[in-house]
Amino acid sequence: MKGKILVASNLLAAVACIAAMVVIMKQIDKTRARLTSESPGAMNYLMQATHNLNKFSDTVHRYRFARLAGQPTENLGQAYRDGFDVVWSSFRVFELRFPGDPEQQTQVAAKTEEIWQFLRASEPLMAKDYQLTYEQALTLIDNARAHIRQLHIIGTRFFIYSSVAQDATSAHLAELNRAFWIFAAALLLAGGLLIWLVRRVTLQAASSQHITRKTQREMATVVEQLNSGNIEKRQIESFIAEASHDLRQPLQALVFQIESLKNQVQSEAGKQSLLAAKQSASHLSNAFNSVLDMSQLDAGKITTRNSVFELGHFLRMLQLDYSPIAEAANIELILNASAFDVDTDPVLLDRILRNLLENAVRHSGANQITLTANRTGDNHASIVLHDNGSGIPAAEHDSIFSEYYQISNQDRDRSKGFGLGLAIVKRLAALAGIDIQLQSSATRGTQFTLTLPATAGSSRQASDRTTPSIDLDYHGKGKLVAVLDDQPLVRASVEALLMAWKFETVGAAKSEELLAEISRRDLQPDLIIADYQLQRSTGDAAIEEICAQLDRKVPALIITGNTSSETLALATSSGHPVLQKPIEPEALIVAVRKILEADSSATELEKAV
Amino acid sequence: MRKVFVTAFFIILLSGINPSLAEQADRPDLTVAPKSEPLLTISGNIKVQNTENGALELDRALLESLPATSFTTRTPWTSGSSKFTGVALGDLLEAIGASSQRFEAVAVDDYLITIEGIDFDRYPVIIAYQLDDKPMTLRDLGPLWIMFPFDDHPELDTELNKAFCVWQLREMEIL
Repeated sequence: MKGKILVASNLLAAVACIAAMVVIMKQIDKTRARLTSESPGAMNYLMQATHNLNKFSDTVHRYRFARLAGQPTENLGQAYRDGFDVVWSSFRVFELRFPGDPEQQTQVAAKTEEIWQFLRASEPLMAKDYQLTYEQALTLIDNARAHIRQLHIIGTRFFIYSSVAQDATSAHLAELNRAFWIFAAALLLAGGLLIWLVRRVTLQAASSQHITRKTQREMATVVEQLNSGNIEKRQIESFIAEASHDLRQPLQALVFQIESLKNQVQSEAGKQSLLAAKQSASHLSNAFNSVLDMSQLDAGKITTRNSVFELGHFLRMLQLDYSPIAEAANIELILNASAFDVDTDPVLLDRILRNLLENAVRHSGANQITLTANRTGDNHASIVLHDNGSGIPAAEHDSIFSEYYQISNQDRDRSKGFGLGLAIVKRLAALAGIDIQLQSSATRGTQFTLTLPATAGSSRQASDRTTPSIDLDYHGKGKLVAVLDDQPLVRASVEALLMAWKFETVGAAKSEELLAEISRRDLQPDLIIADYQLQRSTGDAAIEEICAQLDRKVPALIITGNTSSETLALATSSGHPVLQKPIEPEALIVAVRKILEADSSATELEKAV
Repeated sequence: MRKVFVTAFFIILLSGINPSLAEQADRPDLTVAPKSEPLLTISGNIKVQNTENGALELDRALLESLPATSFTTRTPWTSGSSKFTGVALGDLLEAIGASSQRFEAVAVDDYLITIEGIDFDRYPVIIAYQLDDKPMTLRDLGPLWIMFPFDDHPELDTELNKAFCVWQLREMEIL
C-alpha cells in the first residue's frame, strides 16, 4: 500500500516535471519570437528616416533663403540634392513592423507609400541643373514636415507598442523563471522519491534475503539435528526423566512391601526368595536413581549447594545406611574417619560415595571395603575408598568413567546395573569441585581418592560421638506413626514396613482425613511421615496444620519423589528431616528411630526442667 | 613631379637602413592628396596623414589602390546574395598606422557609432566601395558601406554587428 502511494507520487512528480518543462519551452518560444520581431533596428530606421527628412527640409530651407538673399546657391543645391538621395535611401530600407497588429501595420504601409509618392513626385525637381522656385521649395519643405509629423505619430505608437511588448516579455520572463523553479522542484522531488523508492526496495530485498538466509540456516540446523539424532536423544532423555519419575512410586511401594514380608516368611526357601526379591528391587531402585541422575545432569538441572558440615558424622551415617547392603553381599564395610569440617555439597558428595560404594559392592568382588577420611592440608581433605577386589585393568581406567561402560560384565547382566555409576560419579564430582583419582591393580584392588575443600577447625575424634548403629532387632514398641501420602500404594507400603518393625500406624491421603481418624480413635501420634507433594498442599503445611490441631509439636519426617533442587530446598527449609524416594527400608527405619530418640531425649530434658 | 622624386630618393635611402620601410615601398602612397573629391576622411590617432590638420582624406582612386577584398553575403537591406568589394578594415588600419582597432564611424545621414571589439585581423570586415562590381550611389546606401561577411561567418550575425554596418560612410576617427 505504502509502495503504491510512493509510485503514484513519483509518477505525479514526473508528470509535474514534464508539464513544467512544456510550459518553459512554450514561454521560451514566445519570448524568442517576440524578441526577434523587436529588432532594435526598427526604431532606428524610423528615427533615421525622420532625421533625413528633417535634414532635407533644412537644406531646402537654406537654399531658399540663399536665393532670397541673392547669395551663391551652388553648394546648397548639391546639399539638398544629396539630402534627397539620403531620404530616398532611408526609405528604401525603411521597415517598421507591429507584429500581430494588422491595423498599425496597414497604417505604416500606407504612410510609407505616401512618402514614396512624394519622393517620386519630387524627383524631377532634384535634377542637377534644375533650379527650384520659391513655391516649389516651400511645398517641398511643407510636405517633408508633414511627413515628419506623421512619422512622429507612428513612432509614438511604436514606442507605446514596444513598451507594452517589453512588459509582456518581462512577464513572460517572470513566468519562465517561475516555471523553471517549479520544474526544478518537481525534478528534485521526483529524483528524491525515486532514490528513496530504490533504496527502500533495495533494503526490502536485503531484508528478505537476510530472512531467507536465516531460514535456510535454521532449516540446515534442524536437518543436521535430525541427521545427528540430537532431537531423538533429547526426547529419549526427557522420556527417561518422566518415566523414571512415574515409576518411582510403585517401585518404592514394592521395596517396602518386600521388607514388610520379612517377619512373615518362615520357611527357608521363602526367606531365600525374599532375599533375592529384595536384592532385585534394590538393584532396580538403584538403576532408577542412576538413570534419573544422568538425565538431570544432561539437562543441567543439578546445581550445587555448598555447606560446611562435619565429615566424620556424615560418613558414619553413610556407613549405617550401607552396612546392611554390604553385609548382604558378605562384604565388610570399615570406616576410618577423623572428625573435621568440610565445605562442599553434601547431597552431591552423598551421591558420589553411594555410587562408588554401590560399584564396589557389586563389581569389585571384594570382601572388604575401607572408607578413610583425613585432612591432607589446611584447606583440603581426602576420602579414600579402597576395596580389596580384583581391580581394574590399567587399559580400562579411562573408559570406566564413560556412560554405559561395564567392566568384567561382557554378558551385559542387567541385574548388575546399567553401568551409569562411574559416569555419574565423574560428572557429579566435576560439578561439586571434587577431584577423583583412581588407583587400581589386580593384587591390591581398587582405590578411589576424593579430594575436597576442608575448613580450618579442630579435629575431633569420631569415636567421641555416640551414634546409633543399625540394630536389626530394633523394636517400634507400639509407637504411633501417622502416614500422610496421597498415593495409596506408597502409603500402604510404608505402613506395612513400619508395622513389620512393630510400630502402630494410622494413614490418610489428606490432613483433614488424618485428623478425623485421629480424633475418632482418640490417638496421640508420636511421629508424622508426610509426602511433600500432596494433592492440594505441601507436606510441611500439612504437618503444621496437624500440629496446630493437636496443639502440640509432633516430630515429623518428609519424604519426596521430586528430585528437583528447588523442591528439595523448599522441603528442607521446613526444618524437618527430608528423605528422597526411592528410600531403602533401612534408611527409613534409621531415620524414624533417630527422630524418635531425639524427641524422647528432648522430652526427658523438658521433664527434668 | 619633383616632390615624387624627392620622396622616392628618401625611400631608397632609408630602405638600406630600415627594412620595414623597404616593405612599405611596395605599398601605395596615401600621403598624397586625393585628386578627386574625397569619399572618406580619417582622423584621430593615425600615422599616415595627408591634410594640414592631421587627417587623411581618401578618394575612390586611393581606396582602390589598397588591396581589395571581396565576399558574397545576404544582408537585411539587400535582396538575395550580393557581392561586396572594398578595403579590409584590417589592411586599412595597418596602412594608415592606426593606434587601435577602435574607431568612431560617421555617415552622410549623421548616423554615428563607435565600432569596437571586432577582430579585423580575423574577420575580413570591409569598407565596401562596390556592390555587385558597381560603384554605389547615395540612394544605393553608398558610396562607402562597412560590411561584415555574415554568410561566411554566421557568428557575426548579431544586432550589434548590423548596427556597425554603417552605410553612406563619411568619416572615421581612430580612438
